[in-house]
Amino acid sequence: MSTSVESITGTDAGLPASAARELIELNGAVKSYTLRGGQTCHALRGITLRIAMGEYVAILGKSGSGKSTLLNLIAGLDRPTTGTVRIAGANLLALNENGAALWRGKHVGVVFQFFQLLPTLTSLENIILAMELVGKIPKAQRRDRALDLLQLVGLSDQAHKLPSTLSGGQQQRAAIARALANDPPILLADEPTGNLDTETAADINGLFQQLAQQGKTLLIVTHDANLAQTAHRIIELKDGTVVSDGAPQRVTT
Amino acid sequence: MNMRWRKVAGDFRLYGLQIGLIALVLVLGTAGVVAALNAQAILKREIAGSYAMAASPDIVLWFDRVEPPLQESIAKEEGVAAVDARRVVFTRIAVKDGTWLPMRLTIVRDFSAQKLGTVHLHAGSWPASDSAILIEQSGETLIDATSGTPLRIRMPNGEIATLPSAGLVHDTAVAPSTQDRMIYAYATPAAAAMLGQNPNLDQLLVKMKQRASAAAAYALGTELSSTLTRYGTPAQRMDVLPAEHPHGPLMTAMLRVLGVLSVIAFACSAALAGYMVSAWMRREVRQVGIMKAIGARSHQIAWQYLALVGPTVVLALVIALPLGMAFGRAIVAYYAVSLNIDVANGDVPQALLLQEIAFALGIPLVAMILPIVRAARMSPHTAIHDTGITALPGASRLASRLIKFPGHLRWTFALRNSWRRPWRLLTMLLALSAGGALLLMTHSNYESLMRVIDVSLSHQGHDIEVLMQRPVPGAQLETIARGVPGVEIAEAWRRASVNVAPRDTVSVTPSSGENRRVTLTGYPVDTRLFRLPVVQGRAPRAGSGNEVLVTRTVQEVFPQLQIGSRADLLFRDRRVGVTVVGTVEEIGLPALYTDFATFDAVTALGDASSAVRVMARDGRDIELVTSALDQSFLSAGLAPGQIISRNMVRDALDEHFNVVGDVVRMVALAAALVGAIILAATTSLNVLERAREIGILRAMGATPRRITAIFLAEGASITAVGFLLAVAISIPLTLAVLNAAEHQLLHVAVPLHFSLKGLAILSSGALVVLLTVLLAVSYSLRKPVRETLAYE
Repeated sequence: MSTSVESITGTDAGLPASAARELIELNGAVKSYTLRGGQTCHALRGITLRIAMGEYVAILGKSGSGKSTLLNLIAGLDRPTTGTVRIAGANLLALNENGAALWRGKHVGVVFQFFQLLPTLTSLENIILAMELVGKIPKAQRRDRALDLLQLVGLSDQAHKLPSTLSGGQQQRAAIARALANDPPILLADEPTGNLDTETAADINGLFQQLAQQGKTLLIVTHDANLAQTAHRIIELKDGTVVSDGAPQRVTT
Repeated sequence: MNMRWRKVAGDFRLYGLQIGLIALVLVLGTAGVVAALNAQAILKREIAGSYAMAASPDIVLWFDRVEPPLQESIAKEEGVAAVDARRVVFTRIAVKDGTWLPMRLTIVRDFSAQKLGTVHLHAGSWPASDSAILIEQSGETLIDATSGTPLRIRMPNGEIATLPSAGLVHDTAVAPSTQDRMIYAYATPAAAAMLGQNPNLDQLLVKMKQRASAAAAYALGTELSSTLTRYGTPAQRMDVLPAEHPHGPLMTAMLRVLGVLSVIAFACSAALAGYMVSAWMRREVRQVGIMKAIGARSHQIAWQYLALVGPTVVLALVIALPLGMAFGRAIVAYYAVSLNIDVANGDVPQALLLQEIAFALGIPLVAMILPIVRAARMSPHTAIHDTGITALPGASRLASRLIKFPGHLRWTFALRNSWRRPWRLLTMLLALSAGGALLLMTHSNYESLMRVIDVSLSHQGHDIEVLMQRPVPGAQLETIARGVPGVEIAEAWRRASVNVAPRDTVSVTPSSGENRRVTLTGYPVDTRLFRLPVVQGRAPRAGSGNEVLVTRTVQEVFPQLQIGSRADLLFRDRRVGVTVVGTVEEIGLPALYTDFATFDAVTALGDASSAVRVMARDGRDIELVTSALDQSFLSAGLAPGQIISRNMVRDALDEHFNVVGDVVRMVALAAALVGAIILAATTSLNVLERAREIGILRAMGATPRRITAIFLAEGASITAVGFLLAVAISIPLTLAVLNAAEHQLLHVAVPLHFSLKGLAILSSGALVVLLTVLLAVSYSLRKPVRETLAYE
């Protein structure tokens, strides 16, 4: 990983100055679902949360505690039942479907547990497609930027391979490179090491730390204690509410 | 109910829509194949049976008069199974709309003692009395012929006779009146005499004990002719008739095509059902993993899913079987009318029915079992850790390497995705190209044939031909015709029916072994109406001596008659040698063309003309000129035997093409319908099973519009390839049919005219496919991203 993160990823790309202090802001966010039997399930019960730019936050909690729902709200993939979600000063509720998609492409990179690379595209093409869909990066720069990102994640020799020929760790690195394609200020990861062996997970962990050091705002949902311990801040959820929020040493996972 | 059955019941509730769709696809595919195979089996049997019921003769011998002793002597000859006698005359009859249509009157000595060329009662009184006539039932829509209705019929002297109808009969050896634009009537000699016709029977009909071939019939006919000559009663002419329904071979071939296509459509529907189960099993993979993790064995899991698809297949069969049988009966009923046949037995052979049931159950089950077994055999680890995005098969990986649009990654992505499921892609392309090719072929064939008919009719030069009941001096005919308002040119032509005989080194025998008579047509040397293009050789030169033009129809029957060959033409007791100097193209019966001098040399008929050809002035209504000509000839005491306008010929040919066209259209419609269902279902399946991928794209920042564009490009690329394949396949198919039509039916060159109408219909089908993709993507986009990304 010889390429510097700083050289290809900014820290406040496209953000207004007012967003510098509190990049992510949730006020009384509630998310409820109506089940088939008519019962209501409360995934989030009035979450109020502030995350500053450059923070590296790990979200912990048992299954069903609302971690992924919280991540989905921040990514604009879901909308709160009540309450507000403001990211970099933008009220996501005010955006329509197209607007939310474009906003997401420019401001948020998402990393999934199962990598979710598009199988018919090579690693390089997966990254370029992300740029092409959003249109933020000028066309002339896309290929070079994609190659730089692959070098950043240590995959420059796998650029032209299809995902099915890559190992799990390599696929996750490619997925991280893709999430960084449009230089988003926020990187969200849902169990990014959940499907990887310890050694590969440690490698990915190192990559996240490197990104955090360069000022990216990271929110990572994880069960991985090692990964969580490297974060600046750990938020623990239980039954849709925040039960603890603080520096790693104060949280027992 | 144990827990496993509870799971089955729960899955049934959960996947009710998918199971319903599988059942629908199977019902359509199965009903189609049952209908086509049943119709094929019934019609093949009944066309032959119905034709046999008419006891059509193999040989016809012509005399001045056939008396019972002559019949009896021929009946005793070796190889003869039965004999009968008749006379056939042509006249005209007034139909419902007040116009006059040609009428072929068959005079039968005794209806109750018919042996050959038999007709049977359809409605009315039987046998017909000596003061009434019977009408063939297919003319019912043209003429009111209920028993007792007075019918107005032209007599040879131009007067109109009125005879009551005795009712309707069915003659299964003739094409329907509506197609031939001719009324078929039947009368006793006494009734014929009341119409001014010669009541003496002149045709001796012979049925062979065993007809091995047309050549064998020709040999027996020749032998009988020789015997009769020895007895001092020589036959004037001998004809060998075909031993099958006029449309039988063509219909059998078309029904076979229908059967093959329906089998393909059925296979496609089974494959589609398999794909739907495959897509469904992909969603179930994690549950399979969980069940395996808690101890379920592969066969237990497989049986659990089979418990869902098994009853679905049985249910589809229970619905499709009666539906297909009913549709098959409808096809048979339609063709019973179109071919004028009797369907005595509408039963489907039991063996066929059992085969249909076996295939309808077996093939879809196999197609659906495969993905179930594949899923059930997955290891628990693989199943639980399934990422929800399918791995690529080899062909797809290769496509991902080869397909690349530099600078347009979205289109690259879309095109590569079309190869995600190679077998499914193949099924879609098969459905689209087969259905589309047939659709295009149908329209291109029809348009090409009708275009060539129009060109051919325009080459004939005349608009109307008046055929006289007896020869009349040509000058008299021309004078009458030229006096009719709207007539531009009138030329009396001469016609005679001649036999072609071997001469010197040229052995001239019909290629089919049948004795085909040829019409020798004489035209005035200064003709302005002979416009047939001479495609080979040259036109006869005045004074060159006995030169003739032959049509390609003649050359099909007598392949030896090429340019420069010589043959003898036999007319009554005359035998005259002629030289073939050119070939002309004309749709119709075999004909030779020559000038009056050669015609007279062959026939010695002098100035007696049997036809006058007329060209109307520009802009004149042909039908009005036709009526005026009819009236003028009647006023002159010369009753026309037939008046044939160009429109009538075109309509008759159009009707005949429509009989075949209807089968092909039905085939094309079935193929296009099944193809459209398969395409629509497969493309929507392609979209719906990639809901997670759509979620990923949305998470990456793709707007719904861009996602829709990607999937539309994918659908469009498949449709475009299928479309191009359909066009490419349709061209050789159309050329093959046109080639057959050229050599076996029309005997004129039939150039391909590609149908833009067919192309437009196919394009609209392609738009439907894209619309389906659009709907499926819209449906997937309505799902929250959270749901599409969630694991079940």
